[in-house]
Amino acid sequence: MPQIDQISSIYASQLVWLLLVFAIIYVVIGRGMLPKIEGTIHARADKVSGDLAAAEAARDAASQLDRDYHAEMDAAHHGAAGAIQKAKDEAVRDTELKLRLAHDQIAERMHHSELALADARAHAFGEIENVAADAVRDIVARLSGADVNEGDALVAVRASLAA
Amino acid sequence: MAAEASAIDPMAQFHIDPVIGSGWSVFGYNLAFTNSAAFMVIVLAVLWVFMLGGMRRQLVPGRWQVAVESMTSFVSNMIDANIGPKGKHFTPYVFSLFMFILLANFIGLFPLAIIPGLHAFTVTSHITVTGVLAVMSFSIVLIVGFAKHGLKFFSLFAPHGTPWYLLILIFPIELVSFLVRPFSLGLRLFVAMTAGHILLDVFASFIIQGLHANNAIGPVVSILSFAMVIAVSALELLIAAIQAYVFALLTSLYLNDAINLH
Repeated sequence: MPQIDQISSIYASQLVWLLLVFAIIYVVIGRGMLPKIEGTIHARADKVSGDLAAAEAARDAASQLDRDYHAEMDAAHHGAAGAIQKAKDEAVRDTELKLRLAHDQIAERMHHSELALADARAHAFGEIENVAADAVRDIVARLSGADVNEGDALVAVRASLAA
Repeated sequence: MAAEASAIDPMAQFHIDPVIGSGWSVFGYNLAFTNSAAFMVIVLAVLWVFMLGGMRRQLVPGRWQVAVESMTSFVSNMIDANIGPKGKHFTPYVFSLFMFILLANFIGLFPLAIIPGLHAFTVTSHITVTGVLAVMSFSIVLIVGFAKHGLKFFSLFAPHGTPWYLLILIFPIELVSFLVRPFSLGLRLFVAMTAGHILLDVFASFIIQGLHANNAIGPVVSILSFAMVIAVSALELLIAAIQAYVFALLTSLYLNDAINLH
């Protein structure tokens, strides 16, 4: 086994070259290059987690904006519905008022007309009685020659008309 | 056939030869640049090129950058799971360890031998390498443990709620199991790599010997051995990754003992 047979002649060379090469590897690669590569890995991990956090924040902001928008839309809808209801109520009240006013006016005019009609009828009746009384007096005077006075004739006419 | 069997030595692949500077010597120690050292440098170069792909630092990474980042996250997750936030300082060390062992294991399996005159060398198949790595991890555990907790670090060997009469037994047992750690850590990787490569070499030599044997059973042995080489290569790729993972995982578990101490 050369590893053991040769040991006395090669150990110094093996030791020195190994220590030299391993020292270079440790200093140049282990201490020099490794931290930079690990730094890149950390920077990437930080970047990824930072980007994720930023994306999450942006998503939260977007959903907050959406909530605000909906709340505002709801408020606007409520306001619009209220305004429409108010306008409707006002219109209804206005119409009712106008209708009542018109109704009152019509009722008053009808009342007046009825009064005038009754007046006119009473007047007409009066006229008819007078005419009838005059006609009765004429007829009685022509038939019997008796002169009936105006009052009696009127009483007789009213009685016969009432019958 | 006997001559061919001796010609293919499954141990030859572990032989260390100087590439240049066979006479380089400092204070009497021979510091030749060997094939082992050359493959350490190849591991370093491949690892550096691989890591360069992770240095583009794009927010949306390409395939290469993802590959590099998945390796770094794998190690830092392991540290995080086993040690916690206090283990952050040790990520560079465990990462260097893991990537060095992983690439050394993989490059050792690279079929470089199809180019005549070359063959891949597995750095981690040498106890002189795995032992040094294990002792390095163990030393860090000791230094961190005593620096952080002082003599209280010895309470690692006395689990909570142990009655005093059991402590007489448990303390030495825990101490021995602690002291065995560097050996088990180094030997595990060394043995796994060595055994796998010997297995591959033995089955590969059976293919050649089967083809050279002038009898009917020879080609059958070759075909079966070839199927075995394919299967063992797949297994070795798995073991290469698992052993690197085990080494890094155990290092982080031992560091956890030193840092958090129960």
